[in-house]
Amino acid sequence: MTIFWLSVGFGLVTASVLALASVGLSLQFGVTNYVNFAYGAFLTLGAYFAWTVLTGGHLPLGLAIVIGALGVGVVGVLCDRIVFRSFTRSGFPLFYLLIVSFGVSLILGNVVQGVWGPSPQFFAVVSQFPLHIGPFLLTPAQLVIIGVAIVSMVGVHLLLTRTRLGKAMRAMSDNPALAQVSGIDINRVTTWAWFISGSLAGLAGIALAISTASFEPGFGENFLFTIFAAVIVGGIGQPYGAMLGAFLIGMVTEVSAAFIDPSYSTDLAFVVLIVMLLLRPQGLIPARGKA
Amino acid sequence: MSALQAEGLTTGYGSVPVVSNVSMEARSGEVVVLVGPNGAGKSTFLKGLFGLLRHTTGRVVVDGRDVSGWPPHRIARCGMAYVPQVSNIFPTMSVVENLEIGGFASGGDVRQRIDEVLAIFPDLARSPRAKAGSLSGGQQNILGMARSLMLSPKVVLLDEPTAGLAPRYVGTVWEQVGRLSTAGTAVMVVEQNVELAMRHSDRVYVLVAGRVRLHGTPEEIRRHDLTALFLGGGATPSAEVGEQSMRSV
Repeated sequence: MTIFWLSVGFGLVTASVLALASVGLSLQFGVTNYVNFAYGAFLTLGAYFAWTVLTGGHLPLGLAIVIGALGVGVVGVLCDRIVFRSFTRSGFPLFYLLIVSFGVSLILGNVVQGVWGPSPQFFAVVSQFPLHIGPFLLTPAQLVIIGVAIVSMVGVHLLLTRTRLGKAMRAMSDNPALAQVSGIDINRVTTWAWFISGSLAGLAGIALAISTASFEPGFGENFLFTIFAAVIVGGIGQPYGAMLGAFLIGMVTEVSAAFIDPSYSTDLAFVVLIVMLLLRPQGLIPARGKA
Repeated sequence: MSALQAEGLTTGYGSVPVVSNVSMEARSGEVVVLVGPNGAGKSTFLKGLFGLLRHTTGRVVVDGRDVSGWPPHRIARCGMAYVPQVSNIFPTMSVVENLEIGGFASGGDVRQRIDEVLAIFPDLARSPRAKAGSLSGGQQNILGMARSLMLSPKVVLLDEPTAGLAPRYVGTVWEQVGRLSTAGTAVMVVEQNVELAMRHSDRVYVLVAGRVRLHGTPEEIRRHDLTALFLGGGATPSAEVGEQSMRSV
């Protein structure tokens, strides 16, 4: 029983990291209607940006996290403006954009390797003793990750339901042509979507790097398909679905590790994905009119 | 006063023009209807007017301002609204949120305007929190029209607002069109049902194969054999239209 609750605790941490990442991916997909395979590289960049600010700039960890996350937001906007938008403007099929995003991922991955080298790095978080919280055993860093994820999810909810930008993003996700004729500047909203999506990816990358012992170039890319599993299980392009999908996949991967060989935990995420696609292909929260 | 003026507009998809050198006008408080056979270019023309399709020739003037080449969101902000034939709502958003998006470009608090618009459409006011996608087809068309009014436009373009609707909603939609024109708005409607168009319009444009073949009041248009015209019959427009008040373009 103790192992079960320990694994549920780990599940909450993994679900939190996944939620940050999958909600960001969903927001961007909802607005642009194409999948960004460079998203894993965004996670990697977030970890390296924050690590550089922390170790090179000697700034507090909290500030390093904020700068790292916002930095990836800016990278997202630049990728959109310099690369993706020229393809969308020219009316290229969505499949082309998928291939282009693969290319961007490779470029960013090589930039990371070139700038920071191939050696693993780690966040020098002060040695932490795990705390007993109910049946869970969690370190303060893990608690912070869960807290950051909860605050971020509430923030995303408020953004989507209370702000003009969030409503415009939902309108674009629903019906981009109608959003445009309703007076919404879709280029501007798209820019914001990339910034928010990139920032959440950066935050997820930092959380992932802190929750694991070390990180190296390509560690975000390795996590990408688990993020896709959470997004698809939740319902493509649906931020609330992505939250649910992240919770489900996070829990399944970690709780299963308590009973079967942990090396199969990622495989289990895809078993969940396949079962979901068979039983409910539209995901937990279906999207309308998405490619 | 002319609220909308299109002069020599040529537009289409890619490099293929669907409508060529079309000129039309809608005055304040007037209901102008575009009729024509399938594929005549009626909906394409509306999209061209609203900047959703590029036009290769001509210009569009809204309330005295040349909006040619403007992106749709800017055109929406200068006093013209457009309600597409299909997908004219945001299905996962509530009725009120749809209206909020309609007033997005105003930049301010739109609650008072939402109340005003809901007062015009009591059917929508009964379920303001309902998801738009859960409304009936007729209610969705009404919501599309209500959304378009949020910015108090000078011109409203309606693309087949009664297509596929139950008869009771057809009357409601035309009733609302009438109210709009009474309030001083110029309304340009694409309509497949010629008889309905004649009954509810002040002026009618007949579009065939991407060109205006007739133009006049419903009474003037009724004097012509539209079926033959729709089937490609008739001589050149100028020879066909004899009345002085009726212009061919």
